[in-house]
Amino acid sequence: MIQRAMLGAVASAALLAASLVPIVSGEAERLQRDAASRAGAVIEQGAMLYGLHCRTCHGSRGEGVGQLGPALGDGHFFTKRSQEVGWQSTLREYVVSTTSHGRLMGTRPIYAGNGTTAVMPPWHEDHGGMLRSDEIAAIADFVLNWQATATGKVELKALSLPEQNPQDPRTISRGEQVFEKHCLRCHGAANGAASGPAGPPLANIATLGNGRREGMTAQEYIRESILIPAAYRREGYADPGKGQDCGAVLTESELAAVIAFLSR
Amino acid sequence: MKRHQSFLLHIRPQTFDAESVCFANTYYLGFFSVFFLVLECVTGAVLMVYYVPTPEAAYESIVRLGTEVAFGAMIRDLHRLGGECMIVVLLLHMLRIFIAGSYRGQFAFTWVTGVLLLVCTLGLAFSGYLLPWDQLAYWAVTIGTSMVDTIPGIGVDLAILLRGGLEFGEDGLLRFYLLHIVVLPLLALVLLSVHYYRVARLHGIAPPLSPKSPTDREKEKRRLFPDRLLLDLTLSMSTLAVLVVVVTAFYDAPLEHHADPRHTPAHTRAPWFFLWLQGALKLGDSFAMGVVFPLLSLLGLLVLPYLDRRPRQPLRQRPLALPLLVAGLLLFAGLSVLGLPRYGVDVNPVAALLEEVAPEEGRSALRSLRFDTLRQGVYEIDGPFRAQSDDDFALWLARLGQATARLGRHGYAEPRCVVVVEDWQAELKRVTVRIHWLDGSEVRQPTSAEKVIYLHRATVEPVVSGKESGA
Repeated sequence: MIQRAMLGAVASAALLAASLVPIVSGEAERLQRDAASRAGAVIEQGAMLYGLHCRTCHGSRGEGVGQLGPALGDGHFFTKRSQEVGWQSTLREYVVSTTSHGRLMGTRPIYAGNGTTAVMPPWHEDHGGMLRSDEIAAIADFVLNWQATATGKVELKALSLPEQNPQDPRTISRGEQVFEKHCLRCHGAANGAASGPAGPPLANIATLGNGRREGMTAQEYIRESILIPAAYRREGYADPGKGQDCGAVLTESELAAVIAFLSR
Repeated sequence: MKRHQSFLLHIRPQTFDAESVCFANTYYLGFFSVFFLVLECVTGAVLMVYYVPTPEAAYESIVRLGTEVAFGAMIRDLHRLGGECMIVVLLLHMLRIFIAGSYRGQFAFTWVTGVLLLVCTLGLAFSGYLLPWDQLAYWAVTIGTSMVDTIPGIGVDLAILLRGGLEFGEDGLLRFYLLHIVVLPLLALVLLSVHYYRVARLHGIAPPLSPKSPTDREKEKRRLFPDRLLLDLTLSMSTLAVLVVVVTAFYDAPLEHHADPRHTPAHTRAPWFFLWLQGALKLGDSFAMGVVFPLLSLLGLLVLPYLDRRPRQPLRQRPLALPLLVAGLLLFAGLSVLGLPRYGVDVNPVAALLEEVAPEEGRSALRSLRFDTLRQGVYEIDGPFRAQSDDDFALWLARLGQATARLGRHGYAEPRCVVVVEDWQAELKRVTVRIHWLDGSEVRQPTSAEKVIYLHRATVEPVVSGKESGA
């Protein structure tokens, strides 16, 4: 009886050992295969995310778009970019970091054109973006996968932006929207019906502003006041230096539109 | 009898009645339940070494098990498969006890602890389901816990307590992790101790209801050591060997994409042991079907031995038992079938076709094609597609053409399909599948829907360094 039980135990131990043979012998290879497959899957995911979030500014194939974003698929990016921006770590870290945090306005380079460029926004969910760390890592892996085929340097051309006509009712209407969004809180309604708490009413600024600053038209005066609020101060109102940084939040076309609206 | 000083020697009796350790009487279902519990504890302890219970790191730690940890995938597969086997064994165990009628009288409380152990195990399965933090886990458990929300009065607060917020996040994952590794295992251990004590020391296994008188041989005692212990060892090792073969050759624990609260997957499917609940939810109100119905079923099981107080009889002499059993099994099977995604919400046929061509999760026919057969180009499939060559890709295109043509039956006028294959990056291809049709009954409007798939060579044909890839 006991012999039979012992025999059974030994036989089952042998069976267990035998069942482990294929997995033990193939495990090193399986790890390599799964790691390779995983790396590929991450690049696929990165490609998908790039197509959703990055393509509009950096181009479908990483060719860059003038005034929006630099090329990521050219040789220049892989050889010179780190030096250009004084980045000390690896290029992958550079991509991950820039994608996560975005780019501060003061450090943003200008990519071809008339002095304006879009801002790289932060993408990581910790910094107000919408992507997780692993998604940003996947995008970085996808971008770095261009290295194999990257050559030369893409020269970006300025985008031809349509001229804004200040008389155009569409420009004025857009300016009104900008005013309501950004100016209304301090300056009150544009018709002067109710003065804002912090800033003077702007109902007649088109005539009042003309010549208020020496040698400036009303439009130039409004532009200066928006960009440098402290340049001219009216008595009895809050210190503009403490107010909103009005100009910093507007794009060039928003600025032109709101000036057109105020000087209509 | 010699008195033992050691606690370990008190856990199991020194001798057993011969008929209580006879395979034909019990099928060793209790033994196998404990075997799987031990397997879960051991593999679970190994997994805990690598697992990180935070939404940022959980998924990556499961991926690492597959790509960096030697035997990590096997341990995870064993843990997952072991858990599912444990539920099967517990259900069979309960079924056997019910058929044998051995839940009455002094066995009543043992039955109650057994039912609670089943609940505990389902709780372990449910809480463990969330831990990989993939789409499958996140959405199944989100739906599972949303039933708690429907309890009047306390439901929302209870759900917030369970999930750590209105939706799953850092807190919810940690709570489920602690439930899975501390609370429920401890509870199971206590329940199992009571259960086993009653079976082994108090009342033993209910003897079979055979009319013949027990022979002397059946009255014999069997020693624990060495016979029974060796048999236990033999059974454990053989079962483990079978499980190892199964996970090597046939079974892979699923891992879908990283959980994304912003993206509801096309299909959310409960694990098979909760399919009955998913089916029930399709029949009516979430509170009635998702909370009241399971709780009533549980209550029914718990009070069963106290309602049915007559002496033990074989199944065929119990007038209510057989219909009850058949009805219960049919209900379980029927609701489970109803729980399958095919009885879900109707998706429009174009979306269904695109999902079939490029599923969000898992493998597809496109992914099984050889990478190099996907040649760059624009392939217009208009009507019956004539393959230029007979390679896999051409066959795949032909099949896609047939599936597109079938859209005509669903009222899609002049359906046609365009497939664009682009070499996107080194070793990366972009495949766009676009379906065109004419929409509207009076004014025919050209309409299209498309899906983009990126394919990397490594996911299709992973190459192991040092070895030549297939010709």
